[in-house]
Amino acid sequence: MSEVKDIVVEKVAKEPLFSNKNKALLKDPLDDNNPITVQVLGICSALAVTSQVYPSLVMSVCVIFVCAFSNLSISLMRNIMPGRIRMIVQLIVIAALVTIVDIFLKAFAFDVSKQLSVFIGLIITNCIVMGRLEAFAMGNKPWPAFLDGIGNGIGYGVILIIVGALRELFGAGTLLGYPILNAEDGSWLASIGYTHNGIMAATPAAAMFIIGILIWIQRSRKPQLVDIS
Amino acid sequence: MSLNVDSNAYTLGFATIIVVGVALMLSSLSVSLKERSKANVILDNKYSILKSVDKSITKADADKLFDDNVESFIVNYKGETRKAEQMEVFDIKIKDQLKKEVNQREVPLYIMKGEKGNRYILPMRGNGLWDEIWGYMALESDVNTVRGVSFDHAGETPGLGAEITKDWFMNNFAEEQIFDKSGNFVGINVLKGKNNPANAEMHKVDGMSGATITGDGVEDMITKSFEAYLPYLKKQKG
Repeated sequence: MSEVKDIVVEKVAKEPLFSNKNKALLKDPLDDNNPITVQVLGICSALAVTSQVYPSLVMSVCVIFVCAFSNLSISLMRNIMPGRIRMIVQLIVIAALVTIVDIFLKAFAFDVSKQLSVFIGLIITNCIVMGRLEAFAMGNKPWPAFLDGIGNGIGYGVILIIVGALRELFGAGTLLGYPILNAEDGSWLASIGYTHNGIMAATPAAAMFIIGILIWIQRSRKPQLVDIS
Repeated sequence: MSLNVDSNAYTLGFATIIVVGVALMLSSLSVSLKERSKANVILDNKYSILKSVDKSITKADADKLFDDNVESFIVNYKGETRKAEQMEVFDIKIKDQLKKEVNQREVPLYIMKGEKGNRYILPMRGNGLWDEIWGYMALESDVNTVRGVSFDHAGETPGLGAEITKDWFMNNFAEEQIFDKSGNFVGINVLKGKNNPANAEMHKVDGMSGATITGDGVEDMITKSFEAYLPYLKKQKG
């Protein structure tokens, strides 16, 4: 696993809620410190759930929630937590939050929960959540930690949705289930020899190539990122 | 007072408090929302049973429509039926029944009364690529022609195996027959490609590209789940 670039927030007596430093916590993970393309965390679920936009979207929302609140809880406990069992405590917090999401979805949004049953559980194993706990929440105050969780959740979600959109568009010709590219027999696209790409829809390998290309584009635009991970 | 957070006693105490606290919180949350999620499961059950008959039914209508029109029965391998309470029938685990010898099974059957005679709705359960798949098949009053199906799954891949829950796939099953002309059970074969539309064969439906194993699972599920109903179905056909 790659090293994680970090922003350390120093102790300031009175800091506005959205100071520049705190804004950076939200903004950096979208690009310069993106959890997927720069920190190279959470690749497993980015490959697995991105065959369509909708699951990518709901997965992102759930990860933002879990990331933000696990960062917050661990940051609150960081000074009273025994060092030897800190990872176990982190896991308990993550698993508890994911279970809460699961129970709530079952009671209040049953159809969504049915659609995402496996993916919800997968959040526990998402390396971004634990990665941010270790790298940020353990050493920072609750509010910056909370923002860092939201920022990284969004940074993860943005990549997931880009990959999901590309895979759904070129794999099935739809976006969120609405037909966009019509490649039925007799259509214009079919007449120029276009067919939906089975690899895009079918295999996580397609997602790996897309993420690889995204990393490539990002680094040729910003050469200072080349040696980070 | 300075606290030694790394002492053994503190570590043990901390772990105990966290574990017990989290356990209490999660179990009380789960218990307090249990009724709600159970009601959701029952409604969802009724909804998927009705959907095998008519895809246009909405979830909001499912409760009343089911209670007014559908009767629940338990069928054994002698072809005998016993009328039973809704909840008793819902609680039958098809998976456990499938593990028993076929002549020991007692399986659920739903009969929906309508203008065109009784429709027989049979539950099914099988395995997809990653996890379980299940569903219902509704038969017309001739006990042979498929009125419709509704499928569901635990963990098939979205865009691939999960397509079994899409209308285009389920609509393929309508008007297929499960018995051949001489009255032998053949089930329904999920093809690897598409059925030639000019010469569409009976008992065969279009498969999903990229999801052959899930397709085979559906085929297998129909065959295995129907075993226990065959004496009853043959009796009804006369």
